[in-house]
Amino acid sequence: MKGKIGKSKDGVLSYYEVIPPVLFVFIFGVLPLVSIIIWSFFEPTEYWIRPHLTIAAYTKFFTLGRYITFLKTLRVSVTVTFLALIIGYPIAYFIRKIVREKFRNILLFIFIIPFFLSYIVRVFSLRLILGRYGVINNILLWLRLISTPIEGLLFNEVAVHIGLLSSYLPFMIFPIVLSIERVGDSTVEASQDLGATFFQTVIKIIIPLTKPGIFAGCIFVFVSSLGSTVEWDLLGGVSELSTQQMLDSLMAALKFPSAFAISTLILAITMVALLLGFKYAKIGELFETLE
Amino acid sequence: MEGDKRKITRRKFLGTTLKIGAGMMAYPALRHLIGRSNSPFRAFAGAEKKPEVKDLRLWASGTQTIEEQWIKLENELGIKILFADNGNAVGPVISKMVFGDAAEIYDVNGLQGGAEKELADQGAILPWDMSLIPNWDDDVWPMIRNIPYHMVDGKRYGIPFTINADSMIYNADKVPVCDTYAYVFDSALKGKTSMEDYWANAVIFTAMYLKENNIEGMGIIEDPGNLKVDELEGVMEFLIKHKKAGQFRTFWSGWEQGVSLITSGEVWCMTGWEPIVYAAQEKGINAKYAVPKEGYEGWSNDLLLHKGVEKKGLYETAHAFVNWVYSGFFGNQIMKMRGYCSPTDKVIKYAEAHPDEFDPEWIKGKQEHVHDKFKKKKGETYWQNVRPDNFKLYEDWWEKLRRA
Repeated sequence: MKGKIGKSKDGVLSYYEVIPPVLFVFIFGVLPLVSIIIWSFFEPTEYWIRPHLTIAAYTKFFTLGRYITFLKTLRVSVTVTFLALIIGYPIAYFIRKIVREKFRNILLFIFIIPFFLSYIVRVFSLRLILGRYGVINNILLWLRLISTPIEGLLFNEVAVHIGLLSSYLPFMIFPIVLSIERVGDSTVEASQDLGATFFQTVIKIIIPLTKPGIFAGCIFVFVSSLGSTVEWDLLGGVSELSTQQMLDSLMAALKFPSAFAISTLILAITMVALLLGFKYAKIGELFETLE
Repeated sequence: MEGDKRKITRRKFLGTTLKIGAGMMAYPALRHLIGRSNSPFRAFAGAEKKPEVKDLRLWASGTQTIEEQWIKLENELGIKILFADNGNAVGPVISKMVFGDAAEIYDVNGLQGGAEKELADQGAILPWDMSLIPNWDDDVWPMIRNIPYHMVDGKRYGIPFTINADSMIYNADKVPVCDTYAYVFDSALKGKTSMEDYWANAVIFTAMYLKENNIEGMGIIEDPGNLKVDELEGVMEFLIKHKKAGQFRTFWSGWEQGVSLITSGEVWCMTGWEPIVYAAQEKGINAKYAVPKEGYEGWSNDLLLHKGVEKKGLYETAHAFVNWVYSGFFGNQIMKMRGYCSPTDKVIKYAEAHPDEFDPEWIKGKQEHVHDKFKKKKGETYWQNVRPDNFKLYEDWWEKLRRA
């Protein structure tokens, strides 16, 4: 049986080829998400929920001030994404266009190495660097640039930013490296031959052509930051509470509709970001590089 | 000649008949002798049969298992422990027991104290029949017989698995004396103190401090482990005020974080668990455990009897298990493996009777140290309650504090 779904070598895929993966994605991907959205409108019982529609969970989101934590996590995630882009783009460009091919893989490997370590250990090690008697303070004290250790390096929002950035920067670098592959050297040379400066070439040629990679990197970093717990937990101070930590405590307290409502909002934001990416940044083109 | 051997003679017939007759007459007497548990004939006769092995599903905090040493229970009583970690997450455990089928799947629970009333009211757990636990005798420490939340409507639903009493860890090089919880809130130590990131610990310590010193009129608090709505509000406002003033360096959670804060010098004084002191001392820190004038926060991890045991015919087996827990071996083993204390004098007695298994002096030192915390305390012992009457309000307040 042949249908008009999708493409294959002969241009047509059979239903037998399409239905299993579609079913899989529906059952294990779409269905749980749709359930979360529906359950967020259910009424809580002592230990679970019942199908009585209400917006109480969303009302509590505002009246109990949960939106403050949500917005704070959102703000930190956006900032980290922006910083990762500012730092990650030049690194990706350097790796792909400037470094000789034999060193390129070594550099990429350097960014992969930390992922072989335990995630918690990796974040925890930042405490030894940022702490009151950590590496930075000790160097500054040794250089006599300060007389007492700087307290503000750890257990605050700055430390959370540093932690998130160090964790997710490679997620920005790799898709950008991939998208820079698509910018041919001849394109850059043509731009410069026509009199464009290096920065004009970057702004008018390279960045527009690497938009899909930029956007993919932004999505990876943003979504990962939004769902992070460890960085907030280990590096944040008494006021640093992330949305994910709030979700954990809501689940532990059996406040399921509230947890589902917040998850729905996260889902909505992520979906909007992805749609914008597909529409304006042509994120789908990134995968064409792989074909 | 072969034929002669097979031939039944009168002499042979009489001899065989006599042997059979004597055997038949002796059988009841032999059976009686061999059947007695202390019979010397028992092993000789090959009558040392292992009892029938019954599986008992123990769903407890991961720290409460003695792992392969449960085999001793199987060898002695024929009870095979099938251990599953309940994560010690009280809310989800209660939910699974009341809403799910955990109360039927598992037979005995080991959960942080305080959930007894709720689980009993929901019919998820049964009261213990103390007459089936003869080791619950005078050797059991008196102070743990009256933990408020163990009893519901006059019946005992909770029996301590392990217990201890917590206070503060402090760096004696930085804070020479630390005998009151006031140090945690002292502005002289601003940014150098911490509390555990869990309301069940942080709130009771603060409530104890406020009550015992009658600060901000909070001497009215009845039970720091089970605060009323207005008491809770007062305690939380006090905590929020200090948090906003920058009193706490951070809130800690988990063993590694607790140890790291003290050893790295980030925190000089914090409420927490005694083993952190020993870990810090091993790393060369002059850490000490405080004996606060306001008293200790006692905690007990409790054994709860699931409702499903009756249907499965494991009611007596579950009681036999608890009786065995209180017989001394378990207490020695859990102290050796995890440093947790089983609150009965049978632990020391067992070690003294079995010096080949455990070091009696070491066990005695550890057991008496915990016992002394309760006996020689300066103030009251208030028991940590993970499910106070207003626990949902506790959760809301803690969320508010973290956001403040």
